[in-house]
Amino acid sequence: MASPYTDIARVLDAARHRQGWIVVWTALFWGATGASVVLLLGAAGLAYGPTWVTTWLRPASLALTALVLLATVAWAARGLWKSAWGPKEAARTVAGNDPMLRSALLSSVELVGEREVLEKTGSLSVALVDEHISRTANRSRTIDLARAIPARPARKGGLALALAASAQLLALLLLPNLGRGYARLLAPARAPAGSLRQEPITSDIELTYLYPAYMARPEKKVPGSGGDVTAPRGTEVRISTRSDRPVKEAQLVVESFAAPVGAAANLGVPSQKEAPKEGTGEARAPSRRVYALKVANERDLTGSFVVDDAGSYRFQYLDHGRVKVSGPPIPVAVEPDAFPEVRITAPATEVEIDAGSSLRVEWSASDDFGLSELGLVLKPPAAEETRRPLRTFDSTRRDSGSFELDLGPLHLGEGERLLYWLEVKDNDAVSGPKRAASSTHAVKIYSEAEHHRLSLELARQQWEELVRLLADRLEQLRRGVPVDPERLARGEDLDNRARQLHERMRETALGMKKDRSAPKEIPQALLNVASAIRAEEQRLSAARQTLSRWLRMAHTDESLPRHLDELDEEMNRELEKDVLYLEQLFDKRRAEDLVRMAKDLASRRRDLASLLERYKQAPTEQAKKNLLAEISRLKARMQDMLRQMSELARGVSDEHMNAEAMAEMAKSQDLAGAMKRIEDLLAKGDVDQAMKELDAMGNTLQQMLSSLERTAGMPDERNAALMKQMMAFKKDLEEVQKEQEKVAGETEQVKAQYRKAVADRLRRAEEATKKLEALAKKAQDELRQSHPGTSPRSEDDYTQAKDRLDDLRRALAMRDLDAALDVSKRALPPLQRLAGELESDAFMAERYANFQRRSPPADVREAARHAKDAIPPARKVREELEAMFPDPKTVLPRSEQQKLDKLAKDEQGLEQKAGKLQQQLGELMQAAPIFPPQASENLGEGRGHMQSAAEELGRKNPQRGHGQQREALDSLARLQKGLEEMAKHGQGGGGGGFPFPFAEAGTPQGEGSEGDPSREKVEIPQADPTKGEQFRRDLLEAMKQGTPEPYRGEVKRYYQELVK
Amino acid sequence: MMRGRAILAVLALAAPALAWPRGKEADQSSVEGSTRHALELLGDERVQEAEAELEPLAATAGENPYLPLALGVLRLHEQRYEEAVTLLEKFGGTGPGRDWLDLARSSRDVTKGYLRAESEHFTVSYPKGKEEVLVPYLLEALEAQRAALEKDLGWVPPGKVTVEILENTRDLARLSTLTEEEIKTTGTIAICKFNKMMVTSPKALIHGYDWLDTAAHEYVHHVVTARTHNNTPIWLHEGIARWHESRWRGPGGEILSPWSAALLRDAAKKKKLITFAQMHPSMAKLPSQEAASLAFAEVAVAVDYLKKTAGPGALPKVLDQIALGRSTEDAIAVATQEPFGSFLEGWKRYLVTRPLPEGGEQEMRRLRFQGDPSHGGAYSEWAEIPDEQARRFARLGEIFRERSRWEAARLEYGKAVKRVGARYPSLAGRYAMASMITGHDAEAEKALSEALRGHPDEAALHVQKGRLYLKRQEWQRAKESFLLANRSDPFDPEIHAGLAQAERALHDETAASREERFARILVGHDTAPGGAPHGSPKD
Repeated sequence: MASPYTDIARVLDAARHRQGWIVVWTALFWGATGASVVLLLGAAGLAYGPTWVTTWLRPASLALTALVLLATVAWAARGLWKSAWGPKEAARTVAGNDPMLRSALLSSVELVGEREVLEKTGSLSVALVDEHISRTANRSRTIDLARAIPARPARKGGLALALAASAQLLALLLLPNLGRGYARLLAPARAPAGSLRQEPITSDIELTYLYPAYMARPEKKVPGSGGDVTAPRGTEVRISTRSDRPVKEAQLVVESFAAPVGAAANLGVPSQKEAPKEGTGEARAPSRRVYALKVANERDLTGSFVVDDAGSYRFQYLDHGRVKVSGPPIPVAVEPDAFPEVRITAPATEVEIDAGSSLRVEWSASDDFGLSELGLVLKPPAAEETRRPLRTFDSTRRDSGSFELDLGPLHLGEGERLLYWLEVKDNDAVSGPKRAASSTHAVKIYSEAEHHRLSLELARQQWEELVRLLADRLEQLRRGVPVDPERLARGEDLDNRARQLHERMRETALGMKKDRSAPKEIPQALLNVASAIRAEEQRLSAARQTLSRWLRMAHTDESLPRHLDELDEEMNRELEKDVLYLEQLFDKRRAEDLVRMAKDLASRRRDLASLLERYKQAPTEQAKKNLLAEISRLKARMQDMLRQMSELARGVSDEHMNAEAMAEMAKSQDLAGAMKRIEDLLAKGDVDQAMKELDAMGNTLQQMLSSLERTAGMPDERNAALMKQMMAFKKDLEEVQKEQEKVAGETEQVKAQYRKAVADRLRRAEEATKKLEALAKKAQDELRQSHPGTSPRSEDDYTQAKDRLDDLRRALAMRDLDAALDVSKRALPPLQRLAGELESDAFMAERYANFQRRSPPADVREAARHAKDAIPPARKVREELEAMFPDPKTVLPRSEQQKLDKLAKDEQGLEQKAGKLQQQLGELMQAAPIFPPQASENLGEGRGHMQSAAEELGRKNPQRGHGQQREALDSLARLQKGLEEMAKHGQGGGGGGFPFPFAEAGTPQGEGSEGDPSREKVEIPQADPTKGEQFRRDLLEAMKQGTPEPYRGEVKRYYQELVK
Repeated sequence: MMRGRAILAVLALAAPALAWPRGKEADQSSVEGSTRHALELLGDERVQEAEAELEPLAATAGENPYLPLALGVLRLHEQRYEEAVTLLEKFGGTGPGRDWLDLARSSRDVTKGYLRAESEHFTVSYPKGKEEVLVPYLLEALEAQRAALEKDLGWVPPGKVTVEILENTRDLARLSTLTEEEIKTTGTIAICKFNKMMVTSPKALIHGYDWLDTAAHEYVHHVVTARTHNNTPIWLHEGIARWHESRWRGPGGEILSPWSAALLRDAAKKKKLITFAQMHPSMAKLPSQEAASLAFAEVAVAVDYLKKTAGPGALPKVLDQIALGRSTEDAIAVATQEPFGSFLEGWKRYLVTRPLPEGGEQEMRRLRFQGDPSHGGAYSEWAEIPDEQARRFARLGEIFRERSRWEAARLEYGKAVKRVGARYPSLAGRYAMASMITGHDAEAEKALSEALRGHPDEAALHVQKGRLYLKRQEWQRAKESFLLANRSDPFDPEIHAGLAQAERALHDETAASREERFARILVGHDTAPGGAPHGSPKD
């Protein structure tokens, strides 16, 4: 029967083995995984965690790892015990979830064990048992162990371990410090080498420091110390102490640490910044020196050593030359001798001064023990450093002073920079003097050309914007194109740009004016241009806004777009003029600067020639060095100049100019190439040829200079022509003024005749005048009664009418009938407007009950009536006054009338001359924007008055004719004054970009003028003697008080219109 | 542009014959006689006859001290400079011999490394490099000129003529007996002397010059000199050359540019004409470019008048008479069948009554030489515009052009053109360019046409027109425009690039490839090979 069971036993045995391995591998994999994860976390914590974590993290990590491993082992043991310990456990494991199989296998195992007993006892049928075993064996043969006991747990464990390993690898790759963390985790920190603490073998150490002589420090005694030595290098340290035991022989062993060489000897350090730092130099080998100690009374020891480097010393007791006892090391520290310090306290790090002048340099220097020497180092451009001793010190620790740095002998050119600094040495006699340097300062030779260039650059930026604006205007606002909202928007945008440009130009100009080195004419020119642009832009903006409003209201009038087109054209013309005007100024300035530069070059070439001559006489290496340095500087300067020249020569290039010829031209001016040849010749030692080359270069330079001078002179020629035109204009203007004065004077004589003729009539009009006064008073009273009904709308008219009626009464009272007539004429329009407005207000108030009013409707009606009633008396006054003045034809004799005819013709002639003047002015203004924008308007006004004067005189009215003549003179005087003021701010200030012949000699320069018309007092045309003194005084008084009351309404209306 | 040429009539170099030791008579020694005769023949540019005289004696050069001189001068006339230097060095001495030696050395040095290209009747000797682009055009023009002169004058000298292209006026001065100052003062640019033609490369002038007409002009001198044994007076020489210089490309007689016509009429009215005597010994000796221009205009009109009054056969007749040894006055009298005085009177009347060409009132534009500080300078290109406002607009246009604001530039140039018209080439050219770039081709064409009426030789304008035609794909017209431009400024690469494009479109691949190569040479992307594209190259 053993045979069927053998099969069962074999299956169970195989199952035990399989299960055993699976459990073991599973435990192994999972344990390793767990441990790996714990270690990774621990290592990461140690590598990146805060310090407080690291103190407990290592033991914690290790403990956890151990725990994980232990748990794994326990789990494996338990698993083995429960599932693979014996046949029964194996049977349970194999049967899995099949209770029948489990029961069959278990019962088979048990029955086999008890078969003999059963056989003996017969308590159970053995055959039945065998049958059962046989069936179970059959069944067991069909068992697939791989399925019955799956290896999945082990595979899962393996996978987990692989993942953990991958994570480790990745972490090691990504976290650079992780390795260090692992090291700290796995390798226990070594405990510091446990040096056996040596007990002191001496006591009561007394130290005496004897410092080096250069330090001038007194001897220092330190009794009863622990023996620690701190002293400067070179200090002798004397030691006395007492041994703790009887000693026959003793010694001191001084051991120095490894010390950097540079720390010991700091000679030759060019600057503090470059000085080697402690520990960064090459290490010096540790040294060991032995000094014998004197032994007295078997215990008293004395000796000494010199401090050289930091380290330690120790006592040793000897017996027959052999060290028996060695004391602990006692530290020796070197007290550092600091570097000296030197500073340039004045001037600032970089200054700019004139060539050939000197510079006062102030300095201060200090050292902890003592200074020895102070020196100056100069580094001219493209040359080597030169050192000059300035002074020596007698171990002074701190000092300061100043010296004059004379730049003359250095022959520095404009714009060149000289670098300089100070060097100081201390008096360290032990390690050698230490050297330190101040920070490097620079002195730049003032270059007017460079300053001009910078200013020009600033101005040129504005000019470029001017050019852009003009180009955009030309391209975007084509003339004759119908106006639409889009075009208007473009125009407004361009207007804004013009406004901004005006602002920037003003700012730039004012900034440049503050710079003493900026060329004077440029800011003035910018102001001229800014002012001109602004005037045009204001007109344009207003017109564009009006047109925009009209477009919104669907207005179809075509005159406004045409007007706008014309204004745009005017703006374009202004910009064109400004672009050329400024460009010409820039060219002139640049050309003049180039001439300066070329002269400087020529002078340097001469210096070079004399250097070369000297070198030829005495060819030394130093002379050659100087020569080459000079050549190098000259070369740099030439390149700079040639660069600027090529900038100046813009506009010459024509793409169809023969390119070959241009290339040849460039070659012939290759001065830099000549310098290179000279350099090469000198290098070869061919001084004669180099001199020849230099001579040839001199000729080329001379040609260049002549050419530049010619170029620079060209604008002057143009200016001369302009000046001539201006002088002619000035002369013509003065002539016209003079003639106008003359004609006005003659008219005045005729006027006097007329006044004389009418005087009797006016005297006879005394009665009538009283009547007029009464009428004027009546009108005034009526008007006053209308006041309660006035509204804000009619307030202005009321005020005007009131003021004029007041003036009328005053003039009548003074019997100034001429003035009274004038005022009466001006009083009627506001009176009529007031009556109309009040009538309208009354109507509205009566018709609409809810009409919001200050006054009740009845009051308004009453006011309207009074206003209306004021008109007839006022009109009557005017009519009466007009009747009082007879027609001059009826009053003046024939000869005077003929005279008036002649004067009318003269006046007409003057008007024509003024017309020509206006034309001239227009042409001049086209040439350069140097006239105030209002100049043409003034002249136009003057012409208008002349025309009116001619007409009045033709009508035989000397009164009005003379008045118009005075107005014309006033306009001319304002023009003249404006021009003179402009000149004062331009040429008078030493700058005007163009000549301006209107300046009065010695007139002071004012501020802030931009070509506005004169704000100075203009002489009032001769007072009319027929007008009362009081009346004129009143007028003048009113003028002083700002806007005269009668005109406030007009002014207000004007601004309201503007706002609309 | 003013152009000047001169027959070198300086006798210094002919002096050896005059300086011959008078103690010896020619018939005393046949060698000495032949030598002296040969030198006299060379003085008259009769090289072949001198050669015939001297070659048999060459073997005996050691026996007569003057033979090396004569042989040296002969070799110089044959452009065998190395041999000439050796012979003249052998002669040594001072005075005329020294001058000939200097000339031979200069000729040798200047032409050292020159390349040569040949056609049937001409050899062009030119410096290595960009001058190669001149060669095919030069040979073609000279062959055409030769054929035309043979027809007009009935005879041209046999054999090949050498043309030397010189890089600058300095070289021209070294190879002639003129100073550089004289060359620049009168605008002399080419010389026919020593049995060759010396032509300055157009690259020596900023705007180039009409170099093909100039070469043709010098060839006329060569023919007339040979025909009359150098006995033609300078005024007639220049008149004939001037009249025929454009014969290679047309009927000839294009003698007066608008400005020279105006200059001439003004001088005739004011009686400030240059006399024929003042033109002697060389036009190049006149005091200014204006004087030289006036003189050229006068003599050209004289020939024109001669042809008009006595017919086309008159000129060969005059030359024949001169060759026979008659005076010029007599020769003209014979040809015109009227006294010379009447001829002169008629000529003077003709000077005033001859109709002016279009644009005759314009100012003369001076030749601008490289390196001359009195030429050029900022804005000088606008100096020719007399109207200041127009100059201002032109400058504004320029400002915008420099900033690539083409529309604004066009508008400003346009304003200038509106004031003064498009007769100023620089202005018209810029205006046309801005117009083309902004798409206003019609405006561009109108301006260019107007400008070209007054300045038919202005290369830049032709280039602009060429561009315009290329844009319109009018290939034949484009080619013509570029060829016209090439007649003045052959070193503009755009001309050759444009020609290449046009030729290709016209299916002439050979010409297109050649022009492409020329363009590459001029922009420096191709090195000129040793050979010439025309004829067989040899060093």
